[in-house]
Amino acid sequence: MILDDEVFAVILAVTIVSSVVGIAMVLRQEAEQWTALGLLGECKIGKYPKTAVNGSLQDLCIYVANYMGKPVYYKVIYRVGDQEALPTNTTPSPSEPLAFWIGVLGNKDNATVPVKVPITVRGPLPRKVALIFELWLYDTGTHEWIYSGRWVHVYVNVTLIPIEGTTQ
Amino acid sequence: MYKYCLLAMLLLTFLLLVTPVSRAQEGFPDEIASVMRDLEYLHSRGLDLEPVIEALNKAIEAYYKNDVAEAREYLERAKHLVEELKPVAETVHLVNLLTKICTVIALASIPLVVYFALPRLYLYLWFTSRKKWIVIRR
Repeated sequence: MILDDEVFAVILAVTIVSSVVGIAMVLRQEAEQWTALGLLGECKIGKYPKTAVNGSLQDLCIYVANYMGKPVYYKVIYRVGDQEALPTNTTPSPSEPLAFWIGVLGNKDNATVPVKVPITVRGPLPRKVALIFELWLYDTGTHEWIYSGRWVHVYVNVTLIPIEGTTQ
Repeated sequence: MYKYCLLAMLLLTFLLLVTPVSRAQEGFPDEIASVMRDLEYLHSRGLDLEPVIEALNKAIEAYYKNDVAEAREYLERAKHLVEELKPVAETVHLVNLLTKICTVIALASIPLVVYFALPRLYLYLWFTSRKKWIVIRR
């Protein structure tokens, strides 16, 4: 044979492997389904507030990403609580919801939403509290909001009056 | 007395005007939810939902600005887009499925094509590149 057998075998092997990889890429299903929730100060990582005045509005940014393999209707619920009131990956915080923000995200889509967070703390002040944000997803099957297990928090020192020289 | 009556009437008018708006706003997140099932279905059929999602998010944005009329307008636009997409959903799904099947068949046939065609092509090229050669007996 003019075309060497060994060379032909190598060419054929490379072709078969390439073909199988190509087919796998075409037929592959969506990988693991997940969502993400992030908290940004001034819509950038870092620059989080350290103190806040009770009754004021705090500017923050919420980042939500959707890789659930379908469009999602999300709700970010905001609460204020201490260390005992922090949520877990399975249970939301027991604190009373103070505000919520809703939105719709397509698959493999994300959004950064600037929000004004009301700082409402009862009890003695100044006090260090956690601003808690939880991600809830709407289940179209049961028509209920389901806690996604994603949550973020930032600790702030809540005061009665503004403290000079600190970030608010 | 006349002043109090006037105030009471004004208050009553204000309440009558405000209450339906508040009620309309209360149910707004649920109305968004009603579109989501259709959105999931359309996504499963492989349709581009970006205009619908954009309209829904603009409706939510208007809802947070307490602009009920604009929120409702965007929501209706989203619902209209969904209704427009529904009839073509199955056709798009079929086209996507056929495209996928054809791609897989084409990819699977490459090794076979190489196995049968490559030696012949090589021979053809080998001979055509040497057809002007003159063979001399030694």
